[in-house]
Amino acid sequence: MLLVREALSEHCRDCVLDVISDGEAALRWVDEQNCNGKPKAKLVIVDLKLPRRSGHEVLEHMKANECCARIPTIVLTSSEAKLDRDRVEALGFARFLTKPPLLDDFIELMGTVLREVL
Amino acid sequence: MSANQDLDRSLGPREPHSGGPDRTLLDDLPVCLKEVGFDGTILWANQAELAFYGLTLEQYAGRNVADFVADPSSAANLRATLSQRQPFSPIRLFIHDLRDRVRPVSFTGKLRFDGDRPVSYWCTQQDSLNQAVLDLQARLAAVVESSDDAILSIDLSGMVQSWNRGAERLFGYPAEEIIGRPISLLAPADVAQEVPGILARIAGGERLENYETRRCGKDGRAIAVSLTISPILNSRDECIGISEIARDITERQRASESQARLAAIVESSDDAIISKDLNGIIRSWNIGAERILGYRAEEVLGRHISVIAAPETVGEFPTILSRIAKGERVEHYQTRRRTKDGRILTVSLTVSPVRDDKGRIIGASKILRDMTQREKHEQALREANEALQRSNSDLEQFAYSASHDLQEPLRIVASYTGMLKRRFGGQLGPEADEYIQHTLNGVQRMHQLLKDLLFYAHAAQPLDGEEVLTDADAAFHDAIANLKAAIEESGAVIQAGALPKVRIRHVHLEQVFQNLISNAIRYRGVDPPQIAISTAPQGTDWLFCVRDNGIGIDPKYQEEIFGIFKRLHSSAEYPGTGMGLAICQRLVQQAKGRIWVESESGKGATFCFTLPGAE
Repeated sequence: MLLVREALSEHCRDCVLDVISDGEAALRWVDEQNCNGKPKAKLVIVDLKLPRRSGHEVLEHMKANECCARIPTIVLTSSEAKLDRDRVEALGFARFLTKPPLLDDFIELMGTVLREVL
Repeated sequence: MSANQDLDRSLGPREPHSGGPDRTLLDDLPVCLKEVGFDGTILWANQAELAFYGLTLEQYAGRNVADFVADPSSAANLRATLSQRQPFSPIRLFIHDLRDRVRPVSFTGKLRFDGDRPVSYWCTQQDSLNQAVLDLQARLAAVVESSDDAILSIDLSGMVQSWNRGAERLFGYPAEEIIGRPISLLAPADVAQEVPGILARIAGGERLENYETRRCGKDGRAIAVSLTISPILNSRDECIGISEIARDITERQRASESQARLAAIVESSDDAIISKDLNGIIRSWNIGAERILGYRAEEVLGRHISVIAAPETVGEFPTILSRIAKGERVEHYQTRRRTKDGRILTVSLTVSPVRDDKGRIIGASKILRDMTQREKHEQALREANEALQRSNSDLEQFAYSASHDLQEPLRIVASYTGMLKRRFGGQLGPEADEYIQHTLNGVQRMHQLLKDLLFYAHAAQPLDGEEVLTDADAAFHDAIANLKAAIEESGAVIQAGALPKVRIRHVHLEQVFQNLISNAIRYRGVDPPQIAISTAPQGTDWLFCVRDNGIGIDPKYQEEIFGIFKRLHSSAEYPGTGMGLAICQRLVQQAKGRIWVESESGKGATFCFTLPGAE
């Protein structure tokens, strides 16, 4: 979260970051989304390791919600497990990114992603 | 009598001869008598003479007496004697009789005179043998001829005089070829010197029985023989020749040799070898059986085989015996037997029928191998292997978890140090900037180590019979693509021909190529790296070699470099985690290949590995 905030401050000073800090809350947030209004989020960043519900569950829930499935989504994880990657890519709407260990590298990667999405 | 009257008439003109007895008187004499001219022509013969030859006077008179003599030189001598016109005392001759048998006779000649003038001979012929003797001789000859043994006689000078069919069969010489030739012809060079000695002993009246020696056939073949040699004595007990009976014992000798060999094998076997009859009675018991089962042969011979049964296996014996009686074999049957001191052994049995020379099953031979030790060893090996596998998999699990779980705190260190640098870089003084940079370098290095360790632990998963066939060409090109930056930066030139398909996972082979090539680039010398990849078939495997022109590896470290975290250089000189080759080795071994290096310090290195091919 700290890192994402730092990256946003670097690449997108106008962006507002909403942080949902556990899996249950994330599922509730997904349920609240509907397509009548403008989508509330321009980019969703999901961590696979969340308290209470896993990131995979959140992603599946998003996939089932017509509106959420249209929001650009990236999965940001320290995992390099092929299993995690395969599972995310099978959903078809989210990108799987492995966090580089060094902050500078991370911020650069986030810059690339943000330029594509925004 | 009419024949005599005819004879008288036909011989009428000679009647005037006088000075001798009347033919009519002579005709009935029991002695063979004939009148013979000085040239040997038979002029007249009495009844006894005609009966001897089985001829009538018409058939007999006019023929030459020498024609009846068996051998030409004696015939010539006889003619010469007759032409002397002198009486002669008995000369011994062999003549052909009416059945064409050769018979010894003695001839005596007295002159018949006409006045003072000798006109012819009165010859008497005395048969040396009487009929009973002749018949006996014929019978003996038949026995000798039909004998399977070789029977021959030799004279005192060692020349062969008679030779039966058995001798022809055994030695290969026909009678006419060997009679009159020395007996030493039959002695092989190495036993030839014993012949004169033997002949001398026999001539001295000794007899040799069942004397085993060797003889040599006409074709040069050595024949093992048993000889019985005896002197031939005349009526005055003088030795006039030697008889020899030779029996071929080649087969017997061969059989007894092979029996001795088999017996030696049986005795020296580590296995217990036991024979029993169809009632299960033990008939033989070797040293191996004594050692394994504890009974000495004399304790168990004649006892029932169930003496060695383990309590629960008594029921097996009738089954085994009935299978044997049907001619079946029991092979490698695992069961249990009890020793004399009550220990229960695990044994492997092979039981086969024993047949007599007519093919009837008369018992069983049993080979019993003590498997107790082996079973114990196998058990220990199994347990050790299981323990090893457990500890291996624990270790892999540990490495995986550790490296995985260590990543998280490391990220926190990395993140906050990164933040520190971004927010306060340049404000804390040059020393602080340097410390922050060292921390970040350490973090990065630690991250790489954990990543490699994770990969290494991961690579332990075996193929599990999964059929994988990887195009080495594609894996090689993927590896090159991953190394693009390093290749360009170093100016490395990499050459490879067409590469085969091999049995290893694609990502694994890609990793092996990547590690080996990146090593070749990293440990380069002063010249830009030249890297060549070659392959050659090796049986069903493929041999891959990656050759470089780098700094090389001292031979004494060539085993060590494949260990985990083994490095020959500091990371300041050459960066790296020391996991690259360990990973290569693990991946190659996982695919049932081998990997090694051939190198000398300063002369480049060639890393070679094998992988199973498509076939």
